[in-house]
Amino acid sequence: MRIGIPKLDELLGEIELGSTVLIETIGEIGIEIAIEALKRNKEKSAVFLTPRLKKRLEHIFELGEVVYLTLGEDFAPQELFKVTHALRELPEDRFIAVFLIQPLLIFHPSQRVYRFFAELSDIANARGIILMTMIDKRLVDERTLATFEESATHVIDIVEVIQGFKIIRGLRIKKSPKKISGFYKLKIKDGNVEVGELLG
Amino acid sequence: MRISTGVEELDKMLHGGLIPGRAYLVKGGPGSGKTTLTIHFLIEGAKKGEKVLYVSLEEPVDILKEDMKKLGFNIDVPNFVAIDATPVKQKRSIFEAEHFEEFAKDFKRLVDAIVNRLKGEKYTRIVIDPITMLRLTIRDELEYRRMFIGFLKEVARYDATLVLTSEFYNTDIEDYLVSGVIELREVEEGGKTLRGIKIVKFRGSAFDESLRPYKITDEGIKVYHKESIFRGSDE
Repeated sequence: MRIGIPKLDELLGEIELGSTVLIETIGEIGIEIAIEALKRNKEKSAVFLTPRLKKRLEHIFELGEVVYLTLGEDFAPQELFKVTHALRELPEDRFIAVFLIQPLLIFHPSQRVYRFFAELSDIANARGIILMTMIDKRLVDERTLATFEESATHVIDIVEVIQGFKIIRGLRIKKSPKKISGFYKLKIKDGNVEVGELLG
Repeated sequence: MRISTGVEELDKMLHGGLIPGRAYLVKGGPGSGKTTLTIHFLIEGAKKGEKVLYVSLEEPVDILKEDMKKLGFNIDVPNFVAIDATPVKQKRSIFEAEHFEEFAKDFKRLVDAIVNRLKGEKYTRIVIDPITMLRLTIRDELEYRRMFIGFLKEVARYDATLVLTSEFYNTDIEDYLVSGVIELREVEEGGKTLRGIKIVKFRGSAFDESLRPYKITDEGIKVYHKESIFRGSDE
């Protein structure tokens, strides 16, 4: 699979079936990367998300193009087993699962969330599903983050540096079977993502 | 050879189902689905043309029939024999010259009545729901144990598979004497009840030792046999 952002695809290479792509970010910065991947692979994708994000995505995708599994509708935050079950039972033609449920990180203790993420990653690997997930770095400690990284095959790290009133955003490949990279400039404008020149 | 519990995913946890001709105990709190699980078990046999026997010591059979109908289970079929032995029932039903409602007060009379039934007809599956009431009828533990062993031996002679249900408390005698114990557990998580099923004992077979989530749905019990509950003692 390719995400559809040229420089990022160049850095990551082809993402093989069974991979787990972890996007470490602040808040929802870079969610456009996941959306871009969905746009490019909409008929093959299922997305686990909050009702708020579902509303946002429904403006982008026609009904049925993407399979939605919504927190509070298809599963309660307590019912993590329903999520693992849904991933295990995804139709054969849906081999990309995008996981955008940050509230789960707040609802559950980090040890449980890690076990859950490791389970999702194992299912994705066994079923040949590409799993893409975002995690807000502010919601977990370094130890937990390290365990998430251990379960992922690819880690995209997004940082934000504020100098006075100037915001500089950067992106690097922190883990990948291909290679790791330094920080590149990350530009997000009107929902479009561009990975620019090498920083530093 | 194995027999199905009527819940496919539970059969997988049991590595193929129950071993026939033995006794099993299903334990759980009120509303945990003990009765529903045993009805799954009996209906499975009835669907295959087996004659099955359900003895209710707590819930009136009329109410049970209504509740089970809502789950799509029709227990009003000739080879599904349901006996209402609830102590509060009016004395109107006769079974082998006994008033059903007396059974809940006297273990021996219940045993004799069931054995008489087994002598007359071939029942493959028997459920007593719940055994808790009978435990209270015999104060002496040794006497209860003797009675219980005798009952299991009698039923075993007729190759019937026996499933008993019980609340969680004070079941060490039954736990020890039956061939298998299945527990239906509940945990509270953020105001929601999560249910987990665990096989704690299954003589003569390997089994899935994990606590697996289950739900009581409009179609009965659904076990998520590959999933974890991500909670409590499971962590």
